[in-house]
Amino acid sequence: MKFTLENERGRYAIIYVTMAGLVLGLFYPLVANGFARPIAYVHGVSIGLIGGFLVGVIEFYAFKPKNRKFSFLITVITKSTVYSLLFIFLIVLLINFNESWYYNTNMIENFYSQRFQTFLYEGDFKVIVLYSLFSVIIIIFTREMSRKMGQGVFVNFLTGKYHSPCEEERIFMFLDQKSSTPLAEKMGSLGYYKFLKEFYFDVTKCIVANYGEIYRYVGDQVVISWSVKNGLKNANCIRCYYNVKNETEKQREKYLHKYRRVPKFRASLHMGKVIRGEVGNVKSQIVFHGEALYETAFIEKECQKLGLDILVSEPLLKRINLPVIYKKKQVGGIPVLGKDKPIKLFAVEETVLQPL
Amino acid sequence: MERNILQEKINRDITIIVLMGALLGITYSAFSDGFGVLYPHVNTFIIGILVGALISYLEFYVFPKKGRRLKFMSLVLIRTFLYIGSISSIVFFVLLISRMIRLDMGFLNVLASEDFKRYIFKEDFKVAIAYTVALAFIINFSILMIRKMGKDVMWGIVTGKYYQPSEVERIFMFLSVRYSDQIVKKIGRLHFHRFLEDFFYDITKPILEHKGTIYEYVDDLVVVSWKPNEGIQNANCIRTFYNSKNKIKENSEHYYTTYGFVPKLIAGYHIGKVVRGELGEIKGTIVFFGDVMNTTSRIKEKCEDLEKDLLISADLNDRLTLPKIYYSTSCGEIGLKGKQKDLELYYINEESIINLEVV
Repeated sequence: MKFTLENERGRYAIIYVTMAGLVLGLFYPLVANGFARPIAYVHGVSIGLIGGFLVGVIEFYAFKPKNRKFSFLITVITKSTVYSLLFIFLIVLLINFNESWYYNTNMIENFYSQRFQTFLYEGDFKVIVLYSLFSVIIIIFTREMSRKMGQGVFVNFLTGKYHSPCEEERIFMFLDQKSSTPLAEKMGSLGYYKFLKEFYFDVTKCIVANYGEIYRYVGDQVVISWSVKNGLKNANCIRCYYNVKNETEKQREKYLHKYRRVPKFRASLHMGKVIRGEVGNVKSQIVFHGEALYETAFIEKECQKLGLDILVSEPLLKRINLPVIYKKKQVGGIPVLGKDKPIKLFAVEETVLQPL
Repeated sequence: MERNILQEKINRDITIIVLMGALLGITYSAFSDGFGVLYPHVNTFIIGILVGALISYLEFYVFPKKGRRLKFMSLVLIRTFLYIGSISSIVFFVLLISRMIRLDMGFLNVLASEDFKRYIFKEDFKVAIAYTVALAFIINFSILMIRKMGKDVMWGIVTGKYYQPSEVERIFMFLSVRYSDQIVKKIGRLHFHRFLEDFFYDITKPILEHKGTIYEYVDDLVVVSWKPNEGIQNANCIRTFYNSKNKIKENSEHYYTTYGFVPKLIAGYHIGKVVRGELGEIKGTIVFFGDVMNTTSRIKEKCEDLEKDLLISADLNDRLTLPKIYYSTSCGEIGLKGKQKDLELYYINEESIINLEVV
């Protein structure tokens, strides 16, 4: 399930890159020649489409996140070499192909024709190669930035969606390390940081696969949020926790070998209205403000006190259509300021279905 | 003095942008004309410098002041029109003047000449403009991104500098608004968020002027960090607080009329070693990680209990040489939540010159 979802994201990435390639491919002949030479548009479209598609495939399959262990500089050098070669080859091939079709000759004849040779050595060939590489840089850079800034943030930033604050209902999950203080003391800050980094790296795909958005990292805590629709669908927010758990179980040996301990964590889930807006002008940042976050922090404290793995608040749980493999059990509540009734809290357990 | 640091930063950025403009201008002429003749390079060089200067002027002096409260879409539209209009005229006039000098012709003669008309309407003029506008867009976009992500983060991502975590020493300031809970209850979350936008905007300048780096915003809290020598020098870290306070005082009328209260600031300071690294595959951030952060946060919380504006840890107090107008007083050993050992905290007061004279 997880993997098909990841692949789906990959497909989106490839479609995005291909479409961007098409637009930029059409843009070039428009600026360079106007509407004088229709063949230029055939070139533009074919190079844009095929080039864009190949860039998308290479980006997603050859340079996919798992392999991103190199420094940025090495990645840049490798990528620019690969793409330069790719586009030189592609441009020669496609323009040759289109022209031989257009002028009704075969490709070899066309290649050695006066027109094509002039184009290669004196004409616009180098400009086109440069333009293509330029386009690739823009596409990759915007995608990279968008990835680095977090899901959806980049697009919203460009469109200015959060320029004025708005109220929104969201689901929050605090994912905290258990017994973090003694661990940090034992492993030292640096060691503990590396341990956490590895953990975050491993679980990010579980979060993304369940449509969670990483809001912030606070020490040993990750705050994940969902829109109500995405979080409730298929009980994604609860399944996210179990996916993270399974993933760490799967990697157990690696953690034991490297750090001599396996990450143990607890999740506290809650839902409520928050204000979403953008603050800061030097380092601006999308922020959530609201009681819901404080309440989640309280739930987290309760979860720690009770020594539980996962604690879900009633307002959230009553709206989730809980799959049969999960069982809920009320364990207590937290008082809420300004409200009479406390928020009821439930522990959730995954049960193995016995074959009937 | 304070002005200068900020101004220096802006000057450095402007120099970079203008040089980039000149470089990219020459790149264009190198590709379109080769190196046979000199004049295209002179033209593109001048155009590059002028466009760079234009971008710097608009982005550093005009938009930050006028554009902050504008809707994003209208900002984008205004930018687009302004840039296309001014860049076209820059290109047009530079080419015109260059021809006037080169061909030794009068202004109107060049305008009327066949050669020039052909260049403008049929030849490369539109390509040159498209190229310039595209580059202006990219430079602008980078400025926007750097502003969005913070300079350090951006640089770190580009170079991969923070990929390997390392231990660094930093001064931290946790700055927030006193009684924020009660204020939120009175004015509501949405209004409070608007207040925060204004508040953060106002205190940004004092922070940058004193070499602070904004690490993150959490609710009404701003976390600022300094490299030890930069924060200690001229007591920059402490002065940030008092200058922010003055800035708020200057704008107190605005806060009072818009939100019904004038914010009072509180801050906790500490110094110590933290781990710095890049975290997150899909939400890349440079993070500081360590117990120092928790301690600073606890120190800030003590401000409310002890009824003080500004508390600093003994570690930091020992290393500061305070200017004459500040003096520090010990508040004694204070127990902090979650800490086994009590920590000695100091309160720093600003004494105005007038009071000193009386004493």
